[in-house]
Amino acid sequence: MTNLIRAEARKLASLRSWWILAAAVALFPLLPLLAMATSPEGDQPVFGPDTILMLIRGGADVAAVAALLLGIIAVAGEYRHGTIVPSLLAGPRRVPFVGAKLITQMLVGAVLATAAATVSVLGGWIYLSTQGVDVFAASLGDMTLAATGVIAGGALFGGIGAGIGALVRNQTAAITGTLVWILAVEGVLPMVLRNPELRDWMLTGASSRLFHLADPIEGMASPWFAAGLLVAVAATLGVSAMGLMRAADLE
Amino acid sequence: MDTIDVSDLTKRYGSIAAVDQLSFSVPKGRVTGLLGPNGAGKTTTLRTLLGLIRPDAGAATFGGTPYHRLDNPVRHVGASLDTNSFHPGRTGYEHLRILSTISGLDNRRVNVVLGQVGLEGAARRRVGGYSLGMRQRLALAGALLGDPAVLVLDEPANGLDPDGVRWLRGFLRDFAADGRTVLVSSHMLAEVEQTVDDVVIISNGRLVRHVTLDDLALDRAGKANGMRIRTPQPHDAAAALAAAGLRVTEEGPGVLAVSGAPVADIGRAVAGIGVTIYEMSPIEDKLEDAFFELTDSMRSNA
Repeated sequence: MTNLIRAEARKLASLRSWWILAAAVALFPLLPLLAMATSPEGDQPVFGPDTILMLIRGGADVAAVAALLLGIIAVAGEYRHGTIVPSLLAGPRRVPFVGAKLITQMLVGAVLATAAATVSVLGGWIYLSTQGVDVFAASLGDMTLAATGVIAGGALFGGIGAGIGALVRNQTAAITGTLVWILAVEGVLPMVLRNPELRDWMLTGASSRLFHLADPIEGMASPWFAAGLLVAVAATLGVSAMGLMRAADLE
Repeated sequence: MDTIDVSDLTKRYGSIAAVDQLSFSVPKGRVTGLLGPNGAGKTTTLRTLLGLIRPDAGAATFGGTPYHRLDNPVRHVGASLDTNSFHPGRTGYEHLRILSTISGLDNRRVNVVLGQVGLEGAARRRVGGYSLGMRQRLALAGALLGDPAVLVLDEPANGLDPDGVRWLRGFLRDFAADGRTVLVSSHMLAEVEQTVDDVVIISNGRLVRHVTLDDLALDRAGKANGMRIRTPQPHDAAAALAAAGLRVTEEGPGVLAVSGAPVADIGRAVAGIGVTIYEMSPIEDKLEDAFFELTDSMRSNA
């Protein structure tokens, strides 16, 4: 299994596109800071200690979506480029192959989220200090909790992406379907059904609650419920992917 | 584990049998060609042998062990199935490094096999810029990574230039001469005629012939194929031969093919009218013709 995970990491690291995406995700949290810094004096938001938590969450959303898409590409891309054949000839045991994909993509999601959170904290600290805000007035415990939620979210979205990629196989269909689901269906469905609490059961809803691990939103599902839901989704997709992979013919 | 055994292998897609009770074996120390027209079931057979497709019945093993049950299979079996199994954004070197990492091989093997297939110079270039021949060599390098005792190659000469074909031929002959096993598929006997020792000819998923190349040639030797005549008077010669009741066709300017009669009858017919003959030789039979006859008869029976 260690060799399979190392090979999966190598597959990513050997592609320039991965490094470009990773850099974009890591640097994304600087955009809101840039917007704050360049906004006219009267329009500047009121900064407080919890601004840093907001910045961490902003980067986390992008990291989670990137982890989701990378997870899809990591598996469906093997079918798209035909690399699944040499991969399975080198390591023909299919369940460990899918398991290695899931673990690697969870690690990738965690790394992306960690990078985004780190840039958020450092960038926020530097900028907010110039604005006279004592960033560390927000407790270190709160920042750690927020970062934990963000990193766990990134990891789970990476695993969910890998599961979707293994089940759908067609990269374009998997990415399109997933983006339509999270960007449109999840937003519209609770409104159409007039049931706002439905958001608690959806990927975007669950992730936003998980990212509020340090400061749960009142009246909404707890971050722990959200974490449990995302774990259940990732596990269900992963087990289904392993089952499908075991039985599938590779024409 | 250094022989290939296919026994009553059957794979169906709905009502179509892609492979139908196919049995053959490939001994070590020989190059065996798996031949058949497009759609004969060659690729399905190879993919089943390599555990990528599950058979409906029968088995395809390496000395009795299915591919996926081999301990670190790339150390026993090297396989190349497709020249489109590479990520275009990855270098040839990285492609092989990934395969060696999966198998836990010493990474120095990557440079060794790149040297074996003559790709050292292009190893750091992205595969997207490779020619078909270079991708074919990279696929072969992947098959050789584990220094296997058995090679399974699907149409390995596709895309190779004449030098590449000659190199591949020599490489496979040397590989088998080492006491190792080679199974190579092709839809053209002519392509592998100078490489293989044995041929397994399949059509419609079924075995047509499993024979040594020498025996296949002997089978054909006894069949009359007529004589070729080269003459400056083709029209006079054709008229005389036709008048003698022989079948004549014009093969080219001044060249006639005559069939259906012993050489003495042909000679007498043209000598009788004083036609000048530059050449009279038997029409050589090609093994390719035997291959087409065998596969065509199978298809027309289906």
